[in-house]
Amino acid sequence: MIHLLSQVFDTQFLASAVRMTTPILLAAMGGLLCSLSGTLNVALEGLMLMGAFGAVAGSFYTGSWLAGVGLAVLLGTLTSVLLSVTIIKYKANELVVGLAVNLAALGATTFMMRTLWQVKGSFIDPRIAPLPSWRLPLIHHAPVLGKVLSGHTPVVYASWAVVLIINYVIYHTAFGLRLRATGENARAAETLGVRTKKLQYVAFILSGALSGLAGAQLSLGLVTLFLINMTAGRGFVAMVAVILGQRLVAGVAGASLLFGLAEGLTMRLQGLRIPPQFVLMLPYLITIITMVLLRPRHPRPVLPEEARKAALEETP
Amino acid sequence: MRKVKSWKQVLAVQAASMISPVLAVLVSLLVGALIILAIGEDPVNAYYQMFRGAFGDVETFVSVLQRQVPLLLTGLGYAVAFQSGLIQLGGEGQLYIGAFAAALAGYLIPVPAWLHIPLALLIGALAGSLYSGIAGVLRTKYDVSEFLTTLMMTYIASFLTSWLVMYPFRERTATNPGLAAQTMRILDTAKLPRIWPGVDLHIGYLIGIAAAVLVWFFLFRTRTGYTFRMTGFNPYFAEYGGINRTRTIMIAMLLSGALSGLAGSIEVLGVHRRFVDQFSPGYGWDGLAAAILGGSQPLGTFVASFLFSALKTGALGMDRNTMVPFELRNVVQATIMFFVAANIFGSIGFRRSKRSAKAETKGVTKDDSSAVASV
Repeated sequence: MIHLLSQVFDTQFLASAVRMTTPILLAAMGGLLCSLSGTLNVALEGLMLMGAFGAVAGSFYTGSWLAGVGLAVLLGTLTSVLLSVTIIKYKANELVVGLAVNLAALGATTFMMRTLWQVKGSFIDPRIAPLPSWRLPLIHHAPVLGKVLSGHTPVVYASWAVVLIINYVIYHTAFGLRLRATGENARAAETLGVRTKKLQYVAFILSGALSGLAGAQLSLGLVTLFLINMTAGRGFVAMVAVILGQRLVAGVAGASLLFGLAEGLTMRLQGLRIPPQFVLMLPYLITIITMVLLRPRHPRPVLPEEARKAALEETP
Repeated sequence: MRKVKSWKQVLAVQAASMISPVLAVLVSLLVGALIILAIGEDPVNAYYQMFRGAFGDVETFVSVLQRQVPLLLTGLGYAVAFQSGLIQLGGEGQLYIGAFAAALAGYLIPVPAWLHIPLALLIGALAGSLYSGIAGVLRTKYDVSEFLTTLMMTYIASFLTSWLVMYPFRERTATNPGLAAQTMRILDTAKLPRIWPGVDLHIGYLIGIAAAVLVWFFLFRTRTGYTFRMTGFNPYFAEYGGINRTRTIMIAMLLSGALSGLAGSIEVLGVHRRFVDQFSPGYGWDGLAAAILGGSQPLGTFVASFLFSALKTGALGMDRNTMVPFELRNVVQATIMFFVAANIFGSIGFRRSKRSAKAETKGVTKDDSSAVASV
């Protein structure tokens, strides 16, 4: 057992967990912004998929990973704009329209794959430029930390910066305060002159950009190809991370890391003599188990019996 | 309690609620035409080939009906859940679990046909039901949103059945020399018979129609069905009115899973005759689209499932005869869903009420379920 553990938990495992955390972390940060502004973004999955597609397309046609990342962010943002207009302007049901965007992203990416590259299932080409791996100065030569934290793609480092920036913006700026106020009580915020709808648009657009970036890490960072439905539920896992993190930046980042570790574990166990299906279902199982074990404790709702008694007492 | 409406009133309500979905379909087909133009093909010919691919002859029409069955049954499963205010999205996973159980029952239990078919269908439905019941328990006992658990469990079901069919239950006989990932063939007594001899349509279609009628009767004509819809409409009011919410949620989840499980069982007993790894081309997701387009109404779901099945079957024909790829159908279907959901055409049910909008601001909590209740 100890032998098995030491075989699994080494610096390589931790480094892959760090890589795997990034897509979930970026999408979860976007989801967090929406959630704080009082809206629900169910389409993280689809936005991420658009990003993954955009990254491969951009990188394939220009040969530059930077263009890939740019197109990923652009596609994620544009899709998110469409989504936010229907939700905020047309007051569509966030859940249904979000699910529709997920399906639309799946449909659009498979359709584009077929028309642009005449392939089904997956698109691999040597002309797709992957994200480079950058060494962090100083840390790279540190004994354990260097192997775990250095040598990742620029998107990984960007995701850490995003967490710090969002943490600062949400808790230390007027914008962050207004955003949280909108989520807490939109009407009260409006009476104080906060333009709540504008803030919700900003939250959606940022979540689209971040999810697009997450997709770029998926298709150009972890691998260098595009696969049908390659997000495989990570957008929904990111939603779980928002709930588990109790809508606190540090909490959401922690929850994302937990899911990243679960995915790293999956990668690691694939070499061992365990049926692959069991290994592949691990992230989803772990997600459900953590949802049960670490569920946020809501203030207990008033039970109907108590409410009835209270109502009876109030009536003269 | 609402007064029981007459047939005419029911039909009038149904007709009125169909205007928006019909517009959504037409506009989406138009969007599809623009996409076809954009890739340099002829939309008129593409749609003509699509129409011919679905309704060109008896054979294609029969395959439209054949494909409609799993969409209809999973769609009905979602309809029951949505009407009860549950965001149950695990139809695809429950379909796999049900299909696998039905396949086992189909080749392991040697009984006469009159008993074998209903038994295998029942076992499949029960398996799907128990699987969705897990999410029901997590929701009622631990207050974990069924929206995310059912999604996660869909992935798990796919991997789980894949393992079962590759290892313990793989067919390892001379009839499977390539060792394909499939179970043994079901016994002849478990095969679903055809409706008319000579036409390749099995009685699963009739089971689907019967299920739609029963679901409609249950939801709109029984006391328990009323309590379900009441819970979906306003869970707090329903509980205040003495409705046992836990019980309602559990039964709705079980029923929803049973319908999806039945969908999988019928696919196995009627079409594949065995469980084949990853056999479903997303029936559960197409069923979700059908339930949403159909406004979570049994009749609406029936019509929508027919439409999506025709779209899919027709798209195969279009793919064969033109340069427009089959995947156009995914885009059109998603666009339809998007238009219906986005309420661009002013449908009645989709605008979120003030109450649900307030509940949603709390993030993904169980209160969100009320938002979909009116779907």
